[in-house]
Amino acid sequence: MNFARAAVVAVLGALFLGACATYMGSAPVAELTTARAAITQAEAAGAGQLAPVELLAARGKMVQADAAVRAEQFEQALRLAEQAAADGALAERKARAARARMAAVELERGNAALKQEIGRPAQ
Amino acid sequence: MTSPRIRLMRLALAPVAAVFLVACASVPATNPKLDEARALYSQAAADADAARSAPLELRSAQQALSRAETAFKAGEDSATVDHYAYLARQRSATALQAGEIARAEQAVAASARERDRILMAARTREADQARSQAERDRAESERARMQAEKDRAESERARMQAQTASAEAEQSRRAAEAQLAAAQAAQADAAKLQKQLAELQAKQTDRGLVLTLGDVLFDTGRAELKAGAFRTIDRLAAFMREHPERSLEVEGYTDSVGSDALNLALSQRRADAVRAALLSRGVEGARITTRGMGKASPVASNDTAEGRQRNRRVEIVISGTS
Repeated sequence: MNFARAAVVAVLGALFLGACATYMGSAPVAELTTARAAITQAEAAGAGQLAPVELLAARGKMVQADAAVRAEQFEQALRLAEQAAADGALAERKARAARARMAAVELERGNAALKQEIGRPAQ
Repeated sequence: MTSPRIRLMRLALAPVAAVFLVACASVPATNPKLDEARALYSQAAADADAARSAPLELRSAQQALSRAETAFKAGEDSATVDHYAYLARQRSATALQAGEIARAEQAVAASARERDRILMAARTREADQARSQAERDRAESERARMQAEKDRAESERARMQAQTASAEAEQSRRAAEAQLAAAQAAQADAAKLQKQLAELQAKQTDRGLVLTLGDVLFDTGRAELKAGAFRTIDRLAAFMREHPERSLEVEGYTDSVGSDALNLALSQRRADAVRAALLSRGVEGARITTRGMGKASPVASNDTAEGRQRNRRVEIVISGTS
């Protein structure tokens, strides 16, 4: 039964995608906007230093997506925008994770120094 | 009857199956990018922190993965499969990073709590130390106060001792001075007595100091003292007043002329006259005894006038401590 259902979904999905690929006639404005916002947030989170690979990938795909829009290759533009958004979101989280880890390490060091300064480890 | 039919059907199915197998073989069995996405998604889905903190990313990762799987199974072009596999991979990675963030933030919170705990413990310890230090200080000052009190009492005692010692020294100095003065006084008394006795012309004899009032101080046959005797009587009275421990024995003597009875009576009266003169000058009667000796104990020969004159006399024996 699961298999039957999955098969139906797959077939419908394939039909839908085919339809999209065939009939998409305008720029994926929402996806492009989402991608740009993700990149902006990643930059604000410090991804330029902390997740440069992901951020550069997102920017590169954004440029390519804009180019695809200009070339009216909307299907291509949609995929590039989706990937740029995913890269940007990853860059942002990665940068935030790195910062949080640094803060944790910093605090731990501070505690160790504090213990040492106070003289003996707190019981 | 049916057996040949079944066999025929089997024979007919074989080529179909073969065609199907060939078809299957033509589709790539695996896609590395899809495999990677699947693995990463499994990892993210198994991460409780990621699932809790990034449920939307995880769901969109799953959706992308499903589409990639579907496209792959449907034999769609590899670009589509790769695209959705990529999205699934990146979104799973994003969810995993969210889990990382959550763990790091937990660590930050734990460190902050630890820091508070350390500071609190330090403050508590400092307060304890300050309290025990204050207690030690108080005990120390109390000890110092008691010591000071003890020292003061000690010095007071020493001062009193010194005072007592100095008083004793003063007392013994005074005692020594008094002794010296007494000795000097005794010496002076002795010297004075010696001088007085010399003035009285008293003579040291076996019977003691003897003062002789000569015959010239009495008229012949009479017992009244003449004025010339009073100088000696005055000195003797003064001496007796000054030396109350002494007593006198007044003895009257005559020469051998006349009857014994007359001579005894005369000598007694003369002795009494001397006693009366001393009494009138303040000498107590109890200290003076008188005796009439008559012609006894002559001091010179009664044959010559000069000898008889020397025998007519009054002798005063001064007795008592000399």
